Formats: sequence, C-alpha cells, structure tokens
Amino acid sequence: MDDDDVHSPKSVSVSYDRHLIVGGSGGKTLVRPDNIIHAGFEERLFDVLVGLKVTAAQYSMHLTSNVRHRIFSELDRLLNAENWYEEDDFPTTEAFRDFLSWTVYSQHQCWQSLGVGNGGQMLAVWLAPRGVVTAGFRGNNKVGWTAKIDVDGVASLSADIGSLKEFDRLLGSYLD
Amino acid sequence: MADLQRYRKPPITEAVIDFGFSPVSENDLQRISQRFKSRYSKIEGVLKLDVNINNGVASAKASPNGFKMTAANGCDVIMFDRQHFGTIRLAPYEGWESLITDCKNNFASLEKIINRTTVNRIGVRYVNRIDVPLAMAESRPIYDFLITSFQLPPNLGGPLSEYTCAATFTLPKSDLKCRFQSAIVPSILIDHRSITLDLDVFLDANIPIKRDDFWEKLEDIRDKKNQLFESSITPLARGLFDERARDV
Repeated sequence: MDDDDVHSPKSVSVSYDRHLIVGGSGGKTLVRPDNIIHAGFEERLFDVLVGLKVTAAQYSMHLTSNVRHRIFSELDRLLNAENWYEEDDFPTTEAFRDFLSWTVYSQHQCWQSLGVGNGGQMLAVWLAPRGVVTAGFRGNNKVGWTAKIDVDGVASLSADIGSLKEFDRLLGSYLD
Repeated sequence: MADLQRYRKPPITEAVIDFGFSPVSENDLQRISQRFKSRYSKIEGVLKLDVNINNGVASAKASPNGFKMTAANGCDVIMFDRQHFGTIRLAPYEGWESLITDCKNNFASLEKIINRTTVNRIGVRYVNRIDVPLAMAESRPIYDFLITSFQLPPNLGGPLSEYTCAATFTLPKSDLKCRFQSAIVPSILIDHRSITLDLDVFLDANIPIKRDDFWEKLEDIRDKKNQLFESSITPLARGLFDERARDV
C-alpha cells in the first residue's frame, strides 16, 4: 500500500448531548461519567440529580424562578439517598426533557408534586376542583395519564396515552 | 453599549471564560481536579475521539482528555484538559460580574499549579439560543432574525429549515479574533425552531503579563463580544427574549 493511500489520522471530538466546549472553537467533546472516581450509590444518585439540573438549564430562560425552584426542590426531595432504593429506576433524561418542554408549553404548572415511575418516567400530580390527575412523561413525546374525577357524586376513572399537546388540552379541561 | 444583563430572559445557554496554556502533566491534571472537587462535585471524564480512515475503513479510538466538573446547582461548570481551562455558567445567566468573579476565584486556584506567564489564549465565549415560535420561523427568512447571515436571491428564497454558518475573523483595529457560528437547529421546545448564535472572542498572542492588564483585557474581550452580539441580531429576534424590545 502506498503511503499516499493512507489518510492521516484525523482527530475528531464528538458531542454527547451538549455544546459545552472549552478552548477550541470548532471541536466538540465526548463526556462520560467517571465511574472510577464515583462508584458509590450516593455518588451515582448525586450525579443523576446534577445531570437533571443541567438538563433543566436548557429550559430555564423560559421558566419563572418560582417554577424552576419548585422543580429543583422536588428533585432534591426525590433523589435523596434516604428516599431512594438502589433497585429503583433513575428518571431518564428524555422523560425529564418531555416534562420540561411540556412545562414551558403549558399554562398548567400548578402540579402538587413530582415523582419517578417505572422505567424512569417523570410523574406529576395535579389536584383538580373535582379530583386528581396523574401524568407519566415517558420520554418519547408521549404522556400516559389517569384522571379520577367526581361527577355528580360518582368517581369517574379514565386513563389514556397521548402527545404532550393532547395532554395539555385534556388537563386544561379538568383544571379550568 | 448594550449590556446583556438588561434582558429579562437572556438567551444565553452557556457563558464561558477560558484560558489556554502550555501543556501541564497528567499529574497536574489530577491535582486540578482534586483542587476543585469540593465545589464542582460531579466529575466526568472527557474523551478525545480519534477517528482514523484508512482505505475507506474507519476506526475510532477514545482516550481520556481532561475533565468536566459540575457544581450541585447544575449551572456552574468547569472543563479542563492539559492545555485549557474554562469557567462556565449555564442558564439561567446571572450576569458578567458573577461569571468573572467565579473565573477569578478559579484562576487563583489554578495559578497554584500553572504559571500565568504560560497562558497563550484568553477568550470569552457565549452560546445563545433564540427560540422562535414555529409559525414565525416558517414564514420569515433567517435574516429577519440575524443580520450576520446570508441572503438568498430575491424571489427564489424563503424561510429555511436548515442553516449553518461559521467564520473566523480578526476584529477591526484590534488584536482580537472572533469565531462566529450560527445555525438553525431543532428546538427542544414544543412548536418552536431555534437559532443558535455562538460567539467566541479571543486573544491568542501577546497575552498581558501584568495581572491588572490581564483582567482588563478580558473585560475588553467581553465588550467586543457584546457589541458583536448586539450587532448580529434584529429587533425581531431581540423581542423574542425580551418583550420590552418588541416595539423597537
């Protein structure tokens, strides 16, 4: 093989999910958790918590400081070594992103609490005038929801899966 | 000169002050990470990916290349390797004073490991993301939002779905350079499209040695970056992140 046939190795850096660059202008970086340094359960929990807050930073210019603090406060409460079991699924970044983009889109930011469901779904609960609505943001632009609403003294149960926008319309009909 | 802090919802997703310097040892790299881990507790290794293309066959090899360390608030970050150190603020941006204070504190710690005389690059880089409602993005050309872009021939061009632009140039009557990048990217918001505007203004020669001059030069770089930003966007774009500017 001629030397001319060999292309010089080209150094390329690839971004993992962000655009955070130091020093160079054009390059990108591949970032990985350093498990050698952080191997313990509490450290992993902390890393997930900080990772979710970094994700929230991408939306924060569209969130009021009140909403942002409520979300961070709930994350701190949820992702706490005292409340967490090692076998629990961590919330996925994709599910949290769906929750955040929905939060920016929606006017219904008056959820009562957040939670984490199976498969890392991001859960949120609303108290409606006549019942309770629970949503699980799945991370694929879909939301699964349940509604338990009192109609003429009879509890009416419903559940469905739909898009983020569909869920917003439905939630509005329960809350308004 | 307009100051970005006056905006109610600054579109800044990342603000970076970074230094380049002569390579330090692997041991020094570890010392830097130890020095900062009490504040920036989440530690991630940064990998450099070397891609080798040989007779049409590509192979890739990743190797450690520094650290990214994030504070518990998820907004304050440092990134460094053997030749660079960056102090980074993610959104919400809290203003230059806060960022430069962090930077000076970090640099004071860094100076115990690297010598300031070896600094060969200082820069201020802001990555902005202007979120445009889809209906507006689909009906207007890019130059309705960005002055620094390109124009399509009359009657032949309309709204763009994709756009990328990058240029490096020296600022007039200055020894500063700017790496300008902008693009239309899919939005993380529902029913939006986003325009990124990434301005990296830097000095890579004749870095001031005296401490006061060094920091003063950084202020000058920041001023130039602000001027570039303000000159690059239209009132329409400005109105998207500050409703007070909508009637301008």
